[in-house]
Amino acid sequence: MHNANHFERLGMHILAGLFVLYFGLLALGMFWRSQTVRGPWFYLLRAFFPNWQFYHLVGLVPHLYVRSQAPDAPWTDWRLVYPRQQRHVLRLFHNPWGNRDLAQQNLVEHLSSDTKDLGEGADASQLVSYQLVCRLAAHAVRQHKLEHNPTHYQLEIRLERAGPQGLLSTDTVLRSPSLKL
Amino acid sequence: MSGYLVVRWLEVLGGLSLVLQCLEYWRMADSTDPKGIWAWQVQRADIPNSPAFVKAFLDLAYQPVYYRLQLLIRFMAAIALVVWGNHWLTALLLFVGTLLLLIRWRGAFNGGSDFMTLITVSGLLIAQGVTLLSDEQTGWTAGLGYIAIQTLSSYFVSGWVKLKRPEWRNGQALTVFLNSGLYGPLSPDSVFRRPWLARVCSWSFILWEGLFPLVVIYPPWMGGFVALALLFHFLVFWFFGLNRFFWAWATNLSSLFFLGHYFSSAL
Repeated sequence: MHNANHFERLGMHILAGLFVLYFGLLALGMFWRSQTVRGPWFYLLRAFFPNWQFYHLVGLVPHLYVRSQAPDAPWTDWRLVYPRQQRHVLRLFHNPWGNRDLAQQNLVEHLSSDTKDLGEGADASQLVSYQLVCRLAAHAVRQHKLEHNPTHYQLEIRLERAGPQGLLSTDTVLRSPSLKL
Repeated sequence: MSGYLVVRWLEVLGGLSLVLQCLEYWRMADSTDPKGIWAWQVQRADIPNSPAFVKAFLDLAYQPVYYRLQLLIRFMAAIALVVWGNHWLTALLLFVGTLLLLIRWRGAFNGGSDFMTLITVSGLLIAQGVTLLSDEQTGWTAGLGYIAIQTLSSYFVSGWVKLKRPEWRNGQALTVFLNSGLYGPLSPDSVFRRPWLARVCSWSFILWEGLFPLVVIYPPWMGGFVALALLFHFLVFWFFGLNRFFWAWATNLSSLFFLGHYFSSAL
């Protein structure tokens, strides 16, 4: 009986040691860069390997801009497509449009990352993220009726850096050809 | 907190969180229809061609009518979790349903809250799987232990990774992110534009998140840390609109009471 208790306590001490070791390794892991694991299934199942690094980096943020054109009319001005909603406490329980808008911005960020991986001058039109963002841009043009009866639209991805007081820099990294709406 | 309460907290809040998610997915189901932004006929190119049966299965599973059926099954399984508690069939349905939703949304719909929800349903499945092999207490120990370690990791990593960044240490990052939030930008006279206040808030978050694992070693702090966590996640919702984060983390905080009790009673 005494021996059983002894082994149980020893087991718990080992478990506690492993607990401390785990968080020690987790802390060390933040200080060295490891190779990024890639692959289509890894990408789709990345939720099994969360990195928990939220809002840690202030840097260039990709933004989607769209413009549209009606027949025999000039292009409209570029317009930012970015999630903004009215705050309401009940949205704690039901916030489908806010979450959808945030997912749209995630899509833009994935396209920016995919085009960076492709390299400068490469054709992005075969990317799934590009095709989905085209649909998003077309949806935004229809939704906001940028002008009467537009027939074509165009999108741009700009990398923008913001400071506490506003926009610091902007750089266009992708511009689509004129696309039929 | 008793083991029964910890488990019921997980089951009831976890079920509620899944119900709220299902209702939101249902409302925006037209986004995944053939004319929606996330049309499957475009997105299916993400799926590798081999093995072929997987792609064929997903083509079928993501037809609008079957996608809605999945949401309905997930909704009913979530209600069953609230009412009757964890069962192997409920856990399996929730796990598979969550996996199918993640693939449908290219790996994640709402980022961190999806990851945390997957951890909840994985924990429920682990608890059932280990129960089948041994007994219920060992099953819940494994399931809650898995959830607790992942939950602690989320705070720990999120806190210390900010400490590395000078813009977090001087408070600028907080203002920049609040400006970019769903309900932003901050008003010109917002208190969060004051550099000293932004710095104090930033350091508070960093230290609180980074030191979170200590609650397991010193359980008397548990109540305070968990209450602060709920307030923190409410503020994340209030400024960034991330309502799912609140429910996903609130669900899994129960596991920390279990882990704290487990360590303190054994050591």
